[in-house]
Amino acid sequence: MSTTKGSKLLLLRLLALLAAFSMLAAACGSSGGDEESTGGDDPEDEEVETGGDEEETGGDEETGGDEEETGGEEEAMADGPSMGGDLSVLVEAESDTWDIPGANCAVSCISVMNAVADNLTMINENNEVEPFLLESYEPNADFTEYTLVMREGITFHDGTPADGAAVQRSLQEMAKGLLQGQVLVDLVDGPDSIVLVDDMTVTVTFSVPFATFGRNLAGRTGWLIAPSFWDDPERAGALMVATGPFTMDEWSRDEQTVLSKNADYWRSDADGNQLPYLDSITFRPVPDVSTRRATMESGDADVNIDSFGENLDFWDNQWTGNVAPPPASRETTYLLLNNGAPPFDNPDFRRAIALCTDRDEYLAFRAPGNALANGPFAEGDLGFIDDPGFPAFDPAAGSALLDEIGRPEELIYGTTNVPSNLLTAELFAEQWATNCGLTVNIDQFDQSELITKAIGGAFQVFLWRNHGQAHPGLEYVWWHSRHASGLALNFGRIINEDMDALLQQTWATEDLGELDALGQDINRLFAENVHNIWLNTTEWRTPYAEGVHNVNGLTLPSGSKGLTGTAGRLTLEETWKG
Amino acid sequence: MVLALILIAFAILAIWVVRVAGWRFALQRLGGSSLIIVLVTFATTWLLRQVPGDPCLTALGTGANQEAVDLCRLERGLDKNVFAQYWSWARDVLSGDLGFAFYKNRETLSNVLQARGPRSFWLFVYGQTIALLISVPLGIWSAYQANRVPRKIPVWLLPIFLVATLALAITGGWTLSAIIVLAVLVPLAIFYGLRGGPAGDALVNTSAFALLSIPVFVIGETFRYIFAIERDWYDLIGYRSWGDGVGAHLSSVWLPALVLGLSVTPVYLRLLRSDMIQNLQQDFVAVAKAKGMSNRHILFRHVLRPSTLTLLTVAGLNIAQIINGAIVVEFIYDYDGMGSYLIAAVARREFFPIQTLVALVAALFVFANTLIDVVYTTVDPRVSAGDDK
Repeated sequence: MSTTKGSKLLLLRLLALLAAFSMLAAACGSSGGDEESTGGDDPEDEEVETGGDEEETGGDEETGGDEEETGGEEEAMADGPSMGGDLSVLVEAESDTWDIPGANCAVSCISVMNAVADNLTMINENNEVEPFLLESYEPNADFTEYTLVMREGITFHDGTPADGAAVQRSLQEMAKGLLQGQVLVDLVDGPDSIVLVDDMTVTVTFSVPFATFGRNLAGRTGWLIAPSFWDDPERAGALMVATGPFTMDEWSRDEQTVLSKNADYWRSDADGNQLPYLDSITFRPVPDVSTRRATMESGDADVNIDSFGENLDFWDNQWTGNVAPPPASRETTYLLLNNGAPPFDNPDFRRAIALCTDRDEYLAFRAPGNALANGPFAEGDLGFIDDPGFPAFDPAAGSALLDEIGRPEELIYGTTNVPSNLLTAELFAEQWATNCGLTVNIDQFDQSELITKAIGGAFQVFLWRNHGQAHPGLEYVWWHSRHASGLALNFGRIINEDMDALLQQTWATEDLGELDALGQDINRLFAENVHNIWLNTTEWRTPYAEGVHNVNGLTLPSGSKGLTGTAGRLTLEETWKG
Repeated sequence: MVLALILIAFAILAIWVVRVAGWRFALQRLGGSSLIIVLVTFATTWLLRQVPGDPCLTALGTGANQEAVDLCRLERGLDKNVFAQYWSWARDVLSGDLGFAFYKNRETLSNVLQARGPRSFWLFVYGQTIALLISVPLGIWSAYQANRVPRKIPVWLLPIFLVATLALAITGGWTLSAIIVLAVLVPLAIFYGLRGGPAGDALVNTSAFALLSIPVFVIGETFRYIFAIERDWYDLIGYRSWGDGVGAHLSSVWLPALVLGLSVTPVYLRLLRSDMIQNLQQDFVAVAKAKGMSNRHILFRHVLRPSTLTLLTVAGLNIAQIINGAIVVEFIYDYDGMGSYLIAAVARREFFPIQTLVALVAALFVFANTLIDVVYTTVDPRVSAGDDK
């Protein structure tokens, strides 16, 4: 027995020795072969790294890749759409209700609604209002009265006619809503100002010029919703009934919203194919941005929306699928200052803080890949100016100004307890302390408190993201003094007569040139008074998987292209798989 | 419905407790449990009111105006003092109304529990099962190996290995050498571990310790990457119920359950191992060996049962830990269970559903620990659940 055991041990030792020496021999004899696989710190490895950098620099080459993909997309477009298929879409939040008049309907909710409901009007790629569900849409000369004529032959998902009475009912319900009521606050006689003239015609009368009404009809206010939905006593939890390309079949809260093709949809494409192309869409709310990305990477979803800065590079350069072209209109990220309370009620203090803020450093560390913003309007939008005169970083001047007006005992920077936001807060706190000798305390709270504090004006400075609605007049509620007291949507409590006048003027014209000029004036006014500290435009990406086509593609009844994809909002009625 | 099920479960437990431990113990437990639940829920009610933020403002969001906020507060009784609010809530819960969301949809907690409760339940059951399936056999094996005679490790191999590694590092780069060192050392360690003896115990113990040191979100994220992204072994499509088919159900839950199970496995394993090592040194084990009983018989019939008392205790106390882990796992795998609902409810200041959920968790905790107290008597007849001493 012992001999056998000893032999086994000897054999084992010999094998181990052999393995060790063969490793040694292999190591000595194959240095050339290792160059390919070694990721160490040899010069060769640096070259590999450099090569990697070149690849990154040539993100533009990757753009070339995108072009190829776009080429693929064009090929698919040329081949024509395929009918059928189920689309799985990831959105960032669940909707609390489809009862739109009082709902906080953000990007995820809008994306679902866009698939279920049609708007009375739409914006085309030239940023002009066009009728969509409506046959015609006519304002009077001073934009106080609108005549809306409904298109014939359209029915809701429940089979009832989408006629003038339905338009009247829908707009009246919107006017009564907590949120949409604020949009329609200037109706001359409340909901009674929405009058049914004949079977298909409705007039809407306002007490003041309201030239943005057509644009509001292209947004939440203008979704045409069926009377059966409005009549539902439990409508806050009910499924949406509208005229859109898909019907809402199932809403499992926080799990999925399932839509299926509306076989009686009123639209067809240029070749006469009945829209929509897809059989069904499943929207899945996945709040965690990394889980959404992982789900796309694993191939378990077809479309995603993402505005997380750290993912931009991934979608642009590493994602193997496609990314829908981003729209020109983008939201702006900025430091929202409370102009209605000390210390930011002092314009000099606001200016001093702007002078002490190194926005380039912020961009480098906290928003790489995003463009610096000097005003509320992104490049390509109405009102954009490259340099409206916003104070540049000048800590000496900022410090001198603070010496003159005095420093507050402390400055309170409010932020949610999201780690990335906290890092941003720390960066600004450090900048203001180091550059200008201010004492900055960071106040952390839950995400839900952010909106509460903003509405109530209980803050000094927040990091914020808003605007980018492609029209300065649509920003009215955020900046006009009429909305600056009590629980207010003018969160920054901006009270500025010039601003009010300019905003009022944006409601009195549809001329894009005039609107651009007014927007530029607003831009300069912001810079001059430093009502906010602008940081960067917010980039959204809409990545989608191989085999999915025409995400956010929309052809309007006139044949022109629709303006879609703003702030991540999805339009999927002309999307197909195949 | 939900309340009825809970009451039925409690009634069954009560009958069993009375039968096993007697009326006195049952009444003591009932009184104690009720007091705990009242204290916990009242403390939650009071604490929630101290947290900044207004549920009505949060729910109404940008649609808030003073009139709407006041109406919301009035409708939900938030204009009353905390005692009145608590009493109103308790009365509603006892009458079967578990509360509803502040949000416009006024979603009821009963609906939420019906939709999400089974997901968390199955995640919990599978997680615990996996943890026990791994920890019990490994704990027994590890404890047994700890008491065996050590096997010799060929130390003479070390200098040869070091020379080879150094040569590799110089010629092929440090990364390659590190990979090869790992590729050789890990199998060697496993080989010697599997050969048994204290090396085997050390291998299991070290692995458990390493696993214990890794936070659950790291395991979750890593496994998600390996099994869902790199290998298409798990679909990130959320939960599938039994109604969707056994295969669909199990394939939707195996990875989250594995992660949850692995997060508690080392605790169970180390506890069982140390208890068994202690019990293996008891006199009755020596007697059993002297009688010629087999190791298997001694381990499973005489040592395992008394060694599971601590494991049972910790399994009961660990419920809160598992709920914490489940929240993280649900988040990573987009698994919409009660954990993610609770997080969202806290963020939205959904006072009443939070209070009810806390009450349910407290009840579950009390239920499980009472159950375990009674199970003690089965596992170890020397212990009596009704015995105050």
